[in-house]
Amino acid sequence: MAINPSDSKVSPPGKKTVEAATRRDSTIDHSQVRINVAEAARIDRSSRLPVLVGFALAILWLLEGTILGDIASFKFDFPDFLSGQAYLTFGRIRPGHLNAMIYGWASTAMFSVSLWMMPRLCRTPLRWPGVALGGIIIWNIGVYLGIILLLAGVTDGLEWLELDHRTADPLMVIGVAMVGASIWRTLAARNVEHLYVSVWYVAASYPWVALIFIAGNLPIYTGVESAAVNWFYGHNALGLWLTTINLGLIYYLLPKIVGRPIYSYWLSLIGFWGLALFYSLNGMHHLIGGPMPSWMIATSITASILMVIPVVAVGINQHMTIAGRFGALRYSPALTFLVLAAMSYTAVSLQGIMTALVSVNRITHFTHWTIAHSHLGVYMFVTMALFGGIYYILPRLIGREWPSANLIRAHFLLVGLGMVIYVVTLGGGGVLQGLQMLDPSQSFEASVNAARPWLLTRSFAAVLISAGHVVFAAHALMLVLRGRSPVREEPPFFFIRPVLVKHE
Amino acid sequence: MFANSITVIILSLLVGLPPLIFMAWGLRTGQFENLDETSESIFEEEELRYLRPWEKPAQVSERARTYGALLPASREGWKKWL
Repeated sequence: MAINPSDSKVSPPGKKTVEAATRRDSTIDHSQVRINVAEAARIDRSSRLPVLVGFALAILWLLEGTILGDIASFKFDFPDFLSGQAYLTFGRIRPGHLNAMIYGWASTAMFSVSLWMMPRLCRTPLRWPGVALGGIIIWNIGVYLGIILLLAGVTDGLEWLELDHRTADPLMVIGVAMVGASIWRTLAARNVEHLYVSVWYVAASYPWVALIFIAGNLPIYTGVESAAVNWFYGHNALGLWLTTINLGLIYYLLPKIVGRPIYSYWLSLIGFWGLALFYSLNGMHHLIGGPMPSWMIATSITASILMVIPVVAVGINQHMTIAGRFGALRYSPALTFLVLAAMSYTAVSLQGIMTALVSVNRITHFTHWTIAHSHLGVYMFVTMALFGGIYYILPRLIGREWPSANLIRAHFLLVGLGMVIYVVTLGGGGVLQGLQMLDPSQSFEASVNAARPWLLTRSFAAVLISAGHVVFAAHALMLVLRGRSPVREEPPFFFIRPVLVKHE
Repeated sequence: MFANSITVIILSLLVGLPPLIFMAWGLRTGQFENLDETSESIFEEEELRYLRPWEKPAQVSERARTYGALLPASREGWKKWL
């Protein structure tokens, strides 16, 4: 909007009017002015403390969630394994694993990623860093308290919403609101006119997650309505929180590392707005076959199928950005993780759309296929993207490169191989299990026995993944501790023989 | 049946309507114009002028043509971007 100079003659401008006009006049035209390296480093420094604390807490959660996940997995193979105490039973360990990974690891790491990315994209130092830091700590206290109570048997009993709504959830709402306040205050103080697509993704995520988390945890729903709100929350937590921050991260880092702008900026906007406007209708497809109004299920299936538009838009865009330049993977471990995450996003989204179809859902519902599908999304997409982000961000904030290329290779190979085995075997086993369950000539026990070899393979994959997490955490610790000894002369990543392919 | 679903309808609208308002704001303030400039806004000064060792000769030429004379990929230069 243009400023009319004659306005000031009519009445003296207020402080807010002057500030707004000053900001409009001083915003940067992207085509003319670029940020320099020193300024980027200054902006990074503004977010350093909350980002580093967030990453440290996230990695601790990754290890804790891994232990809980391993225990839960081995209970399928050895049902009496660690069953002597109530807090070690499957009904508590499994939701403990889920909550530690979603709210402890992924969400805390996503706070850090967004607090690092937003100031860079807005070209201004992070505003209210103390509030953001406090928010991260309060969120983590909430998650920790919730999981302790969960293991002690105090649970709300709804999937993805197990943490206690009287103690843990209020702390988590306060925490995410404080981090979100810092993000939006930084956005309000931006020095750029046009918002890059990652800004749309990150900024929108915070009000969305606060809204759905509060709505999902209100203890006022009963019966069918409770189930509907449960899956309204569960699916939107995936699509409007875990997905959005990580797509924003990929849209930022992928072009930067490859060294060329995103293939089609227009397609990236279609991807964002398609998700923003239509995703919230998707969750009810989890309740196909349940006692729900038929129009609600039909609407959800239709909306799920329509999601093919933003998903394909994102997939084409990310593929075309890197097409012809896959050699760059040899030079950047961060890019390797991010490309795998981007490919997994397309795969898991198309798989999810397919699973929303009644004919497919009839087979896969109530089987281990669902677990394979959710790990393809939350691990192969979300966690891989966060690994890529951490590999890129930590050296910039600490001022040193990662100590060992071999440890990065080991991490990638362990978690990559582990997850491929996990998703393929458990997905295939889940389909076989579903077909057995639909066969009236087979007993239920036969479907359980059909799944056993696949579950054992899953446990083997879980061990590989766990080893990868230990390597990653140890390597991150080495990176931090290196500062206490003289920094050795190491080649930068440019010279590392990258992750899988031999250097020519 | 409708009584059981009104909450989900309201919640879906609460999630889906604000983006519509922000989309209108974006259209009004020109957020969807100058797309090329916006897509390049994430790059720092001279970032696009560095040689990339994985690029084919045609891609190197295209980079030079688009962003100006290329800079050598020194060790220090590369540390910043990778």
